[in-house]
Amino acid sequence: MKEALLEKLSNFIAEGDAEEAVKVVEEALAAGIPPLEILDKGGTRGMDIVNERYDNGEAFLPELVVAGDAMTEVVQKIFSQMDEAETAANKIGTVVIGQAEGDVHDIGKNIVAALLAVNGFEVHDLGIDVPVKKFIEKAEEVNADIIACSTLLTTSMPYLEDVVQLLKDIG
Amino acid sequence: MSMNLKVQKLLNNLDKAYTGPVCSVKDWDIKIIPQTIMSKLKEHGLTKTYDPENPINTDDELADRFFKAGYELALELGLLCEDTERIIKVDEKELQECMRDYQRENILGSGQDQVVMKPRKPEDPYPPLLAASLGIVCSEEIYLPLVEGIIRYKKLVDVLHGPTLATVYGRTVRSGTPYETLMGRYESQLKKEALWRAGREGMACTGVAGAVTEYGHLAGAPALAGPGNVTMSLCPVELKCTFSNFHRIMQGLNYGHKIRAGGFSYIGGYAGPPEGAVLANIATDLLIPTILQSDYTSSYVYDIQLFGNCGRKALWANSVAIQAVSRNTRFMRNKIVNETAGPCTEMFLYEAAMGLMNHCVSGASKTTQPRSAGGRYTDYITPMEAWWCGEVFKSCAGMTRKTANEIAKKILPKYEDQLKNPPKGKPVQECFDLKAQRPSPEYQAIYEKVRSELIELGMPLDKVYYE
Repeated sequence: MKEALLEKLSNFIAEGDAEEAVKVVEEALAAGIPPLEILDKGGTRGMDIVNERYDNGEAFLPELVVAGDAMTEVVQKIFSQMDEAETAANKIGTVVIGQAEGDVHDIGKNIVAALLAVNGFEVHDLGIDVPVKKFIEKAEEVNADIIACSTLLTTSMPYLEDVVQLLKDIG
Repeated sequence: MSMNLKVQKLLNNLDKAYTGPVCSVKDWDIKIIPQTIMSKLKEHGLTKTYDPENPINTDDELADRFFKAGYELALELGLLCEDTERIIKVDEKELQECMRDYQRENILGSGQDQVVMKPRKPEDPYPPLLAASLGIVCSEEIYLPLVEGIIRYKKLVDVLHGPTLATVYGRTVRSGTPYETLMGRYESQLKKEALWRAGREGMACTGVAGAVTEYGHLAGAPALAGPGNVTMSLCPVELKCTFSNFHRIMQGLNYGHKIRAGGFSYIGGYAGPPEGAVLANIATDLLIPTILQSDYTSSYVYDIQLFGNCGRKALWANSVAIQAVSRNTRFMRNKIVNETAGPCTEMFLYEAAMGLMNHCVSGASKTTQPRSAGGRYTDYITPMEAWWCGEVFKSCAGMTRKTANEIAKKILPKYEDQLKNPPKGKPVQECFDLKAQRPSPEYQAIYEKVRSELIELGMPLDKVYYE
């Protein structure tokens, strides 16, 4: 039964079905499977499946994004069952990500955000054309470990340095 | 005072950005676009039609089936306005009207530098136009001699787009700031000086290459006013537009410019497999002139895993998409090749030859080139790549797709295993003499070797040469 539940979870994550994935997590927790085992053998396996499909050209950006969303919900559900110390010890990290000011070319950023989410990071995506201050405000709000700024444009690249400089300047 | 018809139509579509169906960008990207495309592919039996053994399509019936599906897709989807998160839809009457009333040619430039862009069918003998270069960043101090070199040969380069300035009066340009506004005017003035230096004052310019927001365009367009010049406005992927697009086009129309608007389709992105990107690209080519009133469209298929479009998947997808629209409409399109290798490498020359031969025989009216080193490094561009692109693109006019496909099968193996790790090449300072306007002996030797090889394979490169 344990194996079947974990396999079901992997498949729902790979398919990006967040609602069903969370239901399986609830079922698995009720069956007494340790939260970390659910995350590792169900969640991680699901991420591996979708990553492999993407590398082989069988899945594309939308599949990565919905699988990432499903994984985020699964991680939140599992962490809600753990105490603070356990959660902190198992969380990979919190990322604030966005496309630098003046840049709307977000497809690369969306791939990175989806890959981070399917690999267990808590991702806060600020979207496109994000002002320098917004990155820092959001990072403070969610206590982020990483600020990830993306740009395709040479004229938006200076804003990446501006984020770093502002972080230094405000200490 | 009566309103220009294009402005009137543009305003009607802008109005729809406030009244069209509501849809969030995320829903559009991950639900509406992929689901509609996949269902359209299934409905028309087009899934798994990608043919890696034949990178240049020669099947007219396949191209026409894709066109029919892409036409339906355009009517079902429309363009999403990111600012209002509403869909700008068009009905069949509007699309048909646009196809019926579309102009028979675009006249670019003036005087002895004037060129005529025409709709081209697959295998068309009328030579396509080449604009150079793409927005690759270059140091401010070499902008003038670099551009002068790029546009030196009338037979090879027809229109100036130009590189992007790394700085303006030594200061870093930040997009959407007064630095960009200053840069817009500055770049336009430098372009005019470069045209004069090269003796090509009447050559058309396609807007401000370094303007990534409307600020640079609004500042630069007045300096390039006139009917022979062009305003460029590129939309976000996939089938989306923004107010910034409308700003630029409105400004272009104010100054009498031709409008080059566009959008790209990514294999591996929201459109999914190569077949999905073909459909999205056809829909883009139909919607952009209808909604954004472009005189010609700038669009192409790009492979997101290779950061370019010279691999088999993208070559096939571009060939089908270009042929589909060329066979069924008079729409003129600028189709870009995204090379990944840098200057002074054999791989760049192979990639460019492969991509441009494909675009030319499939029916593109124009291209903008080169994208040396994928446009990733400052000063990794020389006039030599632009000249090579002109030589190949124009020489291939009139070739059959069958011949091009056979040549393609022999060129691809020369570079495709390097596509994931292409050679960076050399910066202009190390492989091109900007004073003498000649390539280094090393680069010249690479060029001669590749050119001879390709002539031996059947590419008619002896048709066009430097004047």
